[in-house]
Amino acid sequence: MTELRRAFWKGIVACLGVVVALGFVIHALNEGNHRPEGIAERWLTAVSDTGRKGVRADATTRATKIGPLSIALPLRPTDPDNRHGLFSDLEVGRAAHVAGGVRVPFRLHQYVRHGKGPPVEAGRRPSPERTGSIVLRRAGDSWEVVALDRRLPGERVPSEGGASASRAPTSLWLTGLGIGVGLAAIAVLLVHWAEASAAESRHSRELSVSVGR
Amino acid sequence: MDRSPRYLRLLLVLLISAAFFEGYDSSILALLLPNIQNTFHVSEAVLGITRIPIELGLFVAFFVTRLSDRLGRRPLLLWSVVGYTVFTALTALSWDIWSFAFFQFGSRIFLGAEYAVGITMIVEEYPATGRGRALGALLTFNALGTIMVGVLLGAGVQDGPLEWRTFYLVGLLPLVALAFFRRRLLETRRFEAEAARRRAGEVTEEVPFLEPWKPEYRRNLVLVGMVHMLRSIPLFGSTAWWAFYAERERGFTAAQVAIYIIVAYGFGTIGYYVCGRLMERIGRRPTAVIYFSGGIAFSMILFQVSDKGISFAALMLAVFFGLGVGPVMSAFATELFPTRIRGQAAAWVRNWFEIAGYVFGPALVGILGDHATGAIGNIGDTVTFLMIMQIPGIYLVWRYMPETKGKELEEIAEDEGMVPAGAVLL
Repeated sequence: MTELRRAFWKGIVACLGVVVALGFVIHALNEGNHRPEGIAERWLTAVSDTGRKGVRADATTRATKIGPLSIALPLRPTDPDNRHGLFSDLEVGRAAHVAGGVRVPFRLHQYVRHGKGPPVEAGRRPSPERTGSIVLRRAGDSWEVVALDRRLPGERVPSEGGASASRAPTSLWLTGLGIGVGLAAIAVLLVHWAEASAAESRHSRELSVSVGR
Repeated sequence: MDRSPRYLRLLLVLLISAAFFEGYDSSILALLLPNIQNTFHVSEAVLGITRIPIELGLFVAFFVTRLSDRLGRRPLLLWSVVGYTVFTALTALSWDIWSFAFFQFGSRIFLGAEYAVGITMIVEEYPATGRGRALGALLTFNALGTIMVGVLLGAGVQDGPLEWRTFYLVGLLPLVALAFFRRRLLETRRFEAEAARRRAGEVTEEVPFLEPWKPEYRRNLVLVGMVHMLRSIPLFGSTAWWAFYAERERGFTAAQVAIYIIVAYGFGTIGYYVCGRLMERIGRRPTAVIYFSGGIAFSMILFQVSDKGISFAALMLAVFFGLGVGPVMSAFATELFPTRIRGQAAAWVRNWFEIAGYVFGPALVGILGDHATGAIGNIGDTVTFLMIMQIPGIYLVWRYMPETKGKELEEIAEDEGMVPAGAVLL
């Protein structure tokens, strides 16, 4: 059992080593990515959270780090429910580069209380949907929100047929398959090793029994 | 001597309540996190940190579960229900995020143990012909626990006077069932036989921590553990991120996401049941291969298509196959080990190998798929990437997993060379 315990700790150290190495690889792969679409989405999420009574201060800090809250005023519902975020869902599309920055199209739905839609105006209930484009400009490595604007022709989010902010390249799918084959090979080697060690142990047990006789 | 069908029915009913509340309780936290955050006035960062000790409870459950090989299945199940219920009730009384995290940590320890011991009891008490069906029924109710949370959310229980706390108070119900039935619940016959062997001095009382790693059990532990881990990384990655993906990358409204989840899980429960029947009819291995293939294929479709109709069908089938494979996975984790170490071996598989997927799956998807900084920058592609990596895992099942269809546990242990032929008679 002492030998087993030693092998177990070696295994644990090896697994931790793999996890740390994987962490470094992922960190290296992620480094340098600052997509304006993701920054715009984070800003809208933080703006939405400013409607929740318990997390307002934290959400305000998160939002103002990216852009002033005053910009989001046109997106706020007229009768917010402070138990929920300001928006029930949101979506952003691929950024379009313009002079001095980028424009990120968005679509969101304001949160509507149960049984309480927006007030009826001129015989019609206005939709809780809001669309537009967020204008961002470079701020060091990242981006900051500077304005909200109406959408320009051709600006769409993915659910309207627009492009996704980012897509995996074809090489990544092949890499995934390669990694899967690698993992299966490791698993097969481990199973064979376990089978061999079981046979060896059985053999030594039988040997000790025959010597005892 | 076999148990009477009447007793087996009672056992199943009792264990079903344990499985139901495992599914129920696991889903509360995931679905009500924003409400809990509101109550305790905490930032996203603090919320993220408190998840670590909470999820650690499932890992600690390993040390409780392994006690079932020493103390018996019955006492451990009963005390797990008591422990889970007490901590769940205390969760409803939490006064800040840290007390909440502590009570949930305790609740998860007992919940994890309760579920694992429940599976072991089914495997040990049911004859070979009804084991698969019983496992299927048990896991069906596990999924129904998740649906129940969705239904209560839809009914607006979280907006009532006690807010999210009401959900945890419902968790007191298993204690009521326990009070009624505890005297009728018996120790499993196989554990009693094992305990008799211990009393007779044929085997040692203590089951060492690393016993399942001994050469005679190692092959099956490595194999079953690897298959569980390869499945759990993409599975937990996809289940944790689907709602976010549907809203942010496919433009689903919050209402659509809620309806899709309830309907898909409703359909998915049939997957568990069919899996239980199929593994008895065609065998564990072919069932696992069919379910693995279906789970991977429909998950990839789900995370790649934008059409909502196709998405809906793909979600139902992904849940049907992806989660529905649960009974056959539970069979692998228990049937392939002898009674002496069964509880402990199942705990190794579930609380070490599978939990690795529970922790790393969602983390990998979140980090690689982050829209701002992720290397892939897209949740749909990241989940698909992890699913592709799972494909060769099917080979492991087909090539190396032993078939146990129609075999009693003693036959399996002999076939696997874990006990000498004829050593265990019951």
